[in-house]
Amino acid sequence: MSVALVLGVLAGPASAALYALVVPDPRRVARVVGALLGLTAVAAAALLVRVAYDPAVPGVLVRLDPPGPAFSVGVRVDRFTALFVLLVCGLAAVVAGYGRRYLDGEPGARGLQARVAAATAATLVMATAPSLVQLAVGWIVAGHLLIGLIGHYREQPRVRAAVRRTRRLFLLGDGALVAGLALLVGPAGDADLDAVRASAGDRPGWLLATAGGLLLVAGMVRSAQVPAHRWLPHTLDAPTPVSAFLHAGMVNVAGFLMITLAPVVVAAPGLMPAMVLVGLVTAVSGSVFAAVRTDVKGTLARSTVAQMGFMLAQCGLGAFGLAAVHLVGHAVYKAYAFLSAGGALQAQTLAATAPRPVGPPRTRAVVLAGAAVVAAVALTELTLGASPSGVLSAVLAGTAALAAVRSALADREAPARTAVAITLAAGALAGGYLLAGPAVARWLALPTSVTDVGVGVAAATLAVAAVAGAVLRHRHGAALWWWAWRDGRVGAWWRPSADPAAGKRAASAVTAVRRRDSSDRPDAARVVAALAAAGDHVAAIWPLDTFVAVNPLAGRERTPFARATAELRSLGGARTHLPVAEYRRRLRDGDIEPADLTAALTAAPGTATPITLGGRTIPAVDLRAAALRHPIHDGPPPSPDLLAVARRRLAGRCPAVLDDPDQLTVAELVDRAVGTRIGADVDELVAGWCAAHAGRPAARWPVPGPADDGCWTRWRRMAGADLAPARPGLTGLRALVDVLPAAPDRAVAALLRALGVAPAAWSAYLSRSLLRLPGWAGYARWSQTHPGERPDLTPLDLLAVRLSYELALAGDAAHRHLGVPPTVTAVTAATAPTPGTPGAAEPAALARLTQALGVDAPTLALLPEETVSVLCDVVVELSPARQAEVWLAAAEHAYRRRLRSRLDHGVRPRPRRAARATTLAQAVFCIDVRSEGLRRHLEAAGPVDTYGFAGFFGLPVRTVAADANRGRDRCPVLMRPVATVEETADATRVRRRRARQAWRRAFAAAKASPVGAFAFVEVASVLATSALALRAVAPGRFAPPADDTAPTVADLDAALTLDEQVYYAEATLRTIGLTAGFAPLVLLCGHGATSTNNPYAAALDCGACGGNRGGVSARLVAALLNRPEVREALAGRGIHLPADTHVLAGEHDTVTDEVRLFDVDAVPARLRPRVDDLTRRLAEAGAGLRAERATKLPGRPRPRHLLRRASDWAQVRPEWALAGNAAFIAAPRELTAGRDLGCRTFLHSYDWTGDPDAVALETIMTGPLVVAAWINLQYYFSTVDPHRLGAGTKTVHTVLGDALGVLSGSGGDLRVGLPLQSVGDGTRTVHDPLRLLAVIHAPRHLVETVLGRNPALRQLVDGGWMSLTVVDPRTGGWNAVPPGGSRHAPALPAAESEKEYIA
Amino acid sequence: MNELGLTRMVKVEVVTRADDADAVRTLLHASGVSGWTSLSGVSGFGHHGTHEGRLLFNDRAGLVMVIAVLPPGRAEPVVTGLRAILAHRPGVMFVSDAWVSRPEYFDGDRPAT
Repeated sequence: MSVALVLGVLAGPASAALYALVVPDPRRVARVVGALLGLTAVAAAALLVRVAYDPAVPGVLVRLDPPGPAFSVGVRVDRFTALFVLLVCGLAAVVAGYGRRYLDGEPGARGLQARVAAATAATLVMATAPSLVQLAVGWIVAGHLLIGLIGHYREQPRVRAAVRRTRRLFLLGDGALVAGLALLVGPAGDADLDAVRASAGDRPGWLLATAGGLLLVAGMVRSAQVPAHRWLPHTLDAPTPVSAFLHAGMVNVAGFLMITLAPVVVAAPGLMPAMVLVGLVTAVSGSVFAAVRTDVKGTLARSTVAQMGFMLAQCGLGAFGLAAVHLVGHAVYKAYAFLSAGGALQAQTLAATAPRPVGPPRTRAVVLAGAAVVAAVALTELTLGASPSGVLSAVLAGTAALAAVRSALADREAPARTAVAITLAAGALAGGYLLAGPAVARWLALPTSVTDVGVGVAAATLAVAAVAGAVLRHRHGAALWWWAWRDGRVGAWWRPSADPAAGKRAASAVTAVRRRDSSDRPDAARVVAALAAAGDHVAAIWPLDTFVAVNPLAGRERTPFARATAELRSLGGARTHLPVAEYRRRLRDGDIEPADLTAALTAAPGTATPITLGGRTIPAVDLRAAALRHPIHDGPPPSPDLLAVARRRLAGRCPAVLDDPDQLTVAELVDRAVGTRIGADVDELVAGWCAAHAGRPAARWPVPGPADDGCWTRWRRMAGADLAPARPGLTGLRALVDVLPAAPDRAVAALLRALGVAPAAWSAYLSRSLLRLPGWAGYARWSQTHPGERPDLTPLDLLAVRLSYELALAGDAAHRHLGVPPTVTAVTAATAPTPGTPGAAEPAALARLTQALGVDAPTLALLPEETVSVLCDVVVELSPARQAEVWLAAAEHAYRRRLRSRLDHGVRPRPRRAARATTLAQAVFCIDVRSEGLRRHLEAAGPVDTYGFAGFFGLPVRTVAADANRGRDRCPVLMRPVATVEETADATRVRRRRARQAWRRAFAAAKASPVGAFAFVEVASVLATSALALRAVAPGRFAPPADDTAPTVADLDAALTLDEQVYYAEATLRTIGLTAGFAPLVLLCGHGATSTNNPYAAALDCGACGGNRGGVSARLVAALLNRPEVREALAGRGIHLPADTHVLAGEHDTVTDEVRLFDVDAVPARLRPRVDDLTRRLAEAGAGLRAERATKLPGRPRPRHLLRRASDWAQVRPEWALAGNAAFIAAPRELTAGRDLGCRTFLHSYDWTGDPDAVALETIMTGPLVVAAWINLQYYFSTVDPHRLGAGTKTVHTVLGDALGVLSGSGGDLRVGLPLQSVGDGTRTVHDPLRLLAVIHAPRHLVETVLGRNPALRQLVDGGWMSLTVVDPRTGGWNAVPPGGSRHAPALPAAESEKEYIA
Repeated sequence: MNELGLTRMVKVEVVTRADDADAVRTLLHASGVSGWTSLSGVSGFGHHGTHEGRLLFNDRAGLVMVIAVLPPGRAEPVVTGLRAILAHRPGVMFVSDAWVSRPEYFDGDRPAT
């Protein structure tokens, strides 16, 4: 029975792997693999129960006796093995289940599931091995599969490099394992595990020591012990479930090996002290490495190193049972920590708005609580009988408990009851830890042989580490910090290339420049002016907790879209359009019609003239259309004879042009000249420094320096201490730092001159430098305008650091490889010119075009010269970039055509402004595209009139929750709050929040305790197990709490005068056009999105509310409109809001489509039936919208399953948010009601008849329209280049700093834009990247008036950043305002029949 | 004006979009100008048409006037820098003489490095 159970456990993952390999459907594979691994975990649990009664289960399938050692193949399970098997199977099941949703649609998801299952199977083969041969085979195969998992995103160079390094390291470890096991077995011994264990004491000491040493090496490699630890952080470049699987499961095999071979370890002379030494050095080093990290997953990865070191040290001390407990405890905790790492951002946001702790703590309380904890720990240990390992455990547990208690008591205002509860809990958990560890260890029946030598080595190592750490931190804090930041890298001092004079040469260059220009103030001013232009190429990026949609080219909106995108392609190497092949596919599929292409070509005139081919005349437009419809630039190779003729016809026509070397930085020039990767090295160094500096609030040991030091000042202070830069050129950096000016503007000027950049080219050089790291450059631009809100980092700081590294690295390379100084001129002169972009028609393109026109080689050879010239012109004019522009225009034309057709021929809406008595309510929604669906369904569900307005409902304020640390700006990014509304403290609620915070602080402090963390993970594993179970059965409990900030009218009065309140109320109502005919019930419905474990949660919330949920704004404005004083003043201004009308606030959850109504108790009793009715209709509308949205989500889930997505921690697409947005319509609802616009349009209510001076229209077009255009352009660019202009895949994101942003994997630039999962389902792009179409229902002259008064808006239209169409209210005709601002715009193609829209 | 005990200085007035005013202020700071005055909600008429003083839902598109007074010796980098900043964006710069009674207020040199 037991053997069958073990075989079943082995068969589960093996069959799952096989299934994943043979079945092509990834979704099916994920389902089946998850189910099989789940069943395996259940079987493993049953196995553990079974071995609880029968300690060992031997099941030899076959005994092999080849020449050499004999060995068995089969299974062998004892209690420890069964526990390990359950751990591996349980983790695999959790990871597979999580990965099924997390990686849904990801390319390679099937392979990943196969590898996880196979690695599980291999590890189980190893764990249940009855012989060393089987153990070695399982070990090696699991390692190989692990490398495959690390290389999941193999297309990235740094992943490939990590895979190469890890493979080499694992090869060494595997070799050591095989050699060590071979030595143990001997040439003709018995390789069975039991035999080896039994005979361990009889072997010669040297043999055991050598074999043990080799096994230690193997274990060190696999469990990332210092110095073989650096492969582990690179696992962060794999998807989160893989990181969890590796850090929780796979690294533990070394511990398993040592515990399994405990008799050998104990018998081998010197091995245990060596293990203690290695383990403790690793534990201490790993703790320091983790302390300096500023990102969540990076910290977790280094903490794994520390924990693995601790476990090895436990083995070295002979406490194998405790080591086994730690192995399991750490694994479960770490798996949970990785899988929930995305929630760090939401937790940090919550903490930022939580009540401020009021300190200092009461001394008496701290002493009493501390004494209680120490007494609990001491009594427990004394009860158990103090032993060396017990005392060690007691110290660990006591430290963690004390840290927790101290942190919990840091807030004097926290309820005393909470403090007592936390103290009791800490004492109980510490005591429980001391009791449970030995109990479990005894149950596992593992040996314990703690020796005095081991304890002595441990004590000595810890003492040396503590003293050395204290001395080094005091005297060489900066150097120690760098060492930890570089994961203990000891530098490249042995390399001959590490030229110590490199830094001095760079310093001399700067000194010479500064001497020549003794007064560098004019230079500094020039730098600032150059930077003002350079900075335009990068848009400011808001921190992720207040996600604000930004056009990545916001600074270039003064130039036309075509030119700005061309510059971005040239300077930043980004893609700015979809591939033309995609557009051709759409033409084939009918999404774009030939007429759309013709219209786009007509709007983009070329120089081509009609030609005659074979007696037929081909009009110019057809000729150009042929060039677009056929892959002339990217098609298959043309026939050789045609290509040969094309070459002949083009010979001598246009010379190729060379790349302009002025466009490249010195680092890029050197890279191009000698094949180095200095540009990338500089990127990595600068990005690393920015992450350390800007993310330092999250580090336990932040980068040293005063808190108010700017980035550049801090770098100058620190850079010289970087003793192990590991890159040639950085040695001697201190010399360079010493001569650089303290002011960053002067430093940049000096560095530019040292790099030989002419002042006229400074702006271009700085642009290109900024665009190397657009994420950090964007943060710097934000930081410059928000000083003091987060760690300061200005663009000048960023450039000063960048150019310093560049001068040092490029200087060294230029000196060594080219023998010249690192100046633009010198490096360019020393480089052989290389041909760049050809300026003439490519023969292949010409050949393909002629082929498309049905011309063969002989005909082409005989064509007249003029005809060939025309063909050449077409090929040159319609370059790939130009083609993409024309195709984009065609796609936009197609959308506009369909939208017009839909509006013209949709279902006729019911008449508006019905009798007030028959209208249930008037409901105002945000203009967000998601509201369009709810409005449509609500109108269908009942007599409700709906309106659209920006979701902050016109009240730009900052709200501060009672006693909170930080407020939230509830207005669009274009505005600054006009007032701060502070919530009045509700004592009960604040006390509750303080109590919650005290528990959170206690938990965080125990986790962060350098010593206590080793005990913490074991205790936390119990919580993690419960949380894992709870996530499965009641995920809703983990959903982040809704924003319950509820300022009262009194709070509003304290912030805004009555006049101001009336001003904003009037502006809102007039802009909506809702100034009369009020229904008895008016609903203001904001929106927000509930999602879990999602760093991009704010991106789903309301953009008009500054990335916050809209319910709070709706409540504020509803309260304001319900005030009799406000109504009275409004009446004086012509807006009569009847006394019997009540304004109600609500919030639409866009993930679940449920609408929550606020303050219903305050609704007058006579209106309650209406509210109940409205509630029912809203529920009906929500259900309808869910059903509609379900069809658009990947895998087409059932509508009711959409509710689960809000609390699903593995869900990377809680909803599609604004994906698909394409148009902004400002019009009365009559124009759009009853039409299904597919949740793609921003709908703003506007009634031109009440706006003779275009005041309301101006507000709409300069506010909501511009915000909508930014959102649209962010989606556009995140779709066309998801990796450079978007945030890449979410699966490798790690949260940086205090909710500052995310990095991808093991480092790199701060990510910008939207993640891949927001714009696509993995296999296809879901967002259609079109520039926004603004449709304004108003007389043309009103629109012209607004454009005339607002040059910035006009630039957006004239520059082609969006298109503007005016719908004539009298005729219903659509008139486009073309780019360039022509006042006599041609009418758009008419729909099948014209209709009047005016009711 | 010397007889009144006043000292001649250079006054620089810049009218630019609120979005671009930060670049102007950074330039003044880098040039060692000791202080400046910013006026928001500036309206007027010019090359780009009428400029409204304030928009209801957009604080960034409005105009800002930055006024700085500086010693003549500091004018060159400021004017050169402003010329470069205004080369590709809307805005105007006026430079004129001004007379001040406390010249030391306007000579805030930064510490030498």
